[in-house]
Amino acid sequence: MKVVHQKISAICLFDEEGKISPIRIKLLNSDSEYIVVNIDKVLERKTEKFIGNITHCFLCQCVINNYTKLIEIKYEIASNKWILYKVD
Amino acid sequence: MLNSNSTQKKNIIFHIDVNSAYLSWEAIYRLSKGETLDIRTVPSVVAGREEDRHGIILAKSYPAKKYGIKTGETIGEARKKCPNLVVVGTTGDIYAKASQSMFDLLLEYSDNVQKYSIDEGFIDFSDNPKVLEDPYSVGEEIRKRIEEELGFTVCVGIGENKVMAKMAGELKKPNYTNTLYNNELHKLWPLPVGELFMVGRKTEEKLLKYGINTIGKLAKTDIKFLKQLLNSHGETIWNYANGRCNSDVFNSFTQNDNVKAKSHSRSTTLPQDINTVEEVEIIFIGLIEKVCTKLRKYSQIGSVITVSYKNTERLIFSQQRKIFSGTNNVNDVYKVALELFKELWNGENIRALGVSVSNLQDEAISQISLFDSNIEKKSNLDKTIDYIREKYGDKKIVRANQLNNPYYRKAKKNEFLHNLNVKF
Repeated sequence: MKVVHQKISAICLFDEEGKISPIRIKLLNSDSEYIVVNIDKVLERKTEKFIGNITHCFLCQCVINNYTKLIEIKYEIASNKWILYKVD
Repeated sequence: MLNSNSTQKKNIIFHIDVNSAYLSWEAIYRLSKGETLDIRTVPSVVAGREEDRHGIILAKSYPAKKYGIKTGETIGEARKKCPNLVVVGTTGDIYAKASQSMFDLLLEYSDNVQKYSIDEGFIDFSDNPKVLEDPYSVGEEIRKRIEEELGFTVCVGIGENKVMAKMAGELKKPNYTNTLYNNELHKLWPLPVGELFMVGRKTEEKLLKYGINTIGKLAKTDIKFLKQLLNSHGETIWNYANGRCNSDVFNSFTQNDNVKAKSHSRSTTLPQDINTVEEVEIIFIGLIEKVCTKLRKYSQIGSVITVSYKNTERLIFSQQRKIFSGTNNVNDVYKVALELFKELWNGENIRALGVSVSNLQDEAISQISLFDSNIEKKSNLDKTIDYIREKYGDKKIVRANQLNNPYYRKAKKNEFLHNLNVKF
């Protein structure tokens, strides 16, 4: 997986137990065009606390340009920002 | 003299020290913001802005240490030693947050945690039988957890008192757990005497003159001789060299999670040298306001006021005075500070200024001066100013003379540009 570190827009679900699940994200592709990607499955989730900065990390499966891909996205609590961290 | 074997109970103290704290935290922060270079892997330093003459090195990476770069040097001196040095600036409040995250983790292990500085702490495990069984594995667990969960590395030192724990942490760096029990003093004794806690540059010079070059030699030296050479400090370091220390772990987190300080101080290096009292007055008021705001925040008053200045040759001059009743009022501190400064200053150019208030006590038990009838009025005014600043920002209410303060002008300019959405 390659580190891209791109700020993205996201739609996510907060369930009644406080669990966060990303549903749909909007990102810039290599042609500098915005594309909307549906998150098919969250495969792994973990919480990082590096230097006290609480960040939820999600390893997700999605379809980009007709290819199934793995992506890692992060949600930084302090800034409320979603980041596309790694792409397969 | 202290006797380490006077008690039957075995004490176990842990010392946790972050390796290159500011640099590690800065590196992790930058990596999390998408930077690809890990500054911990190249010769790099964290330093203030050179343009404002704040170019002093705050932290260095381990590769930079190999070039002989030291904390406290100027960037210029460091660049001479290593031309490819990577210099990065400081970032806002990430350090306090990183430090807090570490202490939160340590508090999971024991309530008796002392915050010794932003990146150092002690834990007292003497009452914990589980830890006493195998302190090393608990030390390793803490070290690994900090590395995995918080992303930075620490050295854990384990000893029977605070000094031994601290010295244990210095034995092997970075990212190790070391033990230094009183029966393991042979690990400590071959080290240079300057490595011992509380032995600074001047003390080291004096000891070297008499051939005391290792901690072991210091431990074997006659205490009478050391007392003659260094007064009571001689006895202190002799005890340390022999593995004795009777200082307890002071619990820093008992009162509202706030560490009660022994003094509050502020100092600043000026963008340009100044040499008139009027300019000094403006800077002083700015510094004293910050000190007094902090005092009031912790409901403290101080009765010893110290002023200091640094001349162009970087020599520091300071003077202090004890006042009759403690205060946290800006005008009271300012009056004394200015008098002290006028006594101290010989008219030379000034590079840096500092103010400190110490001998602190609780505001509630202050002794009221018979000669000051306006205490209540002053206190109400201060409270109102603090309230306005807390609610609307630091720069919303300022003294008129602060309009000429270069720092205020700069802050205002940045605020203005920020509001205009202009990149600065």
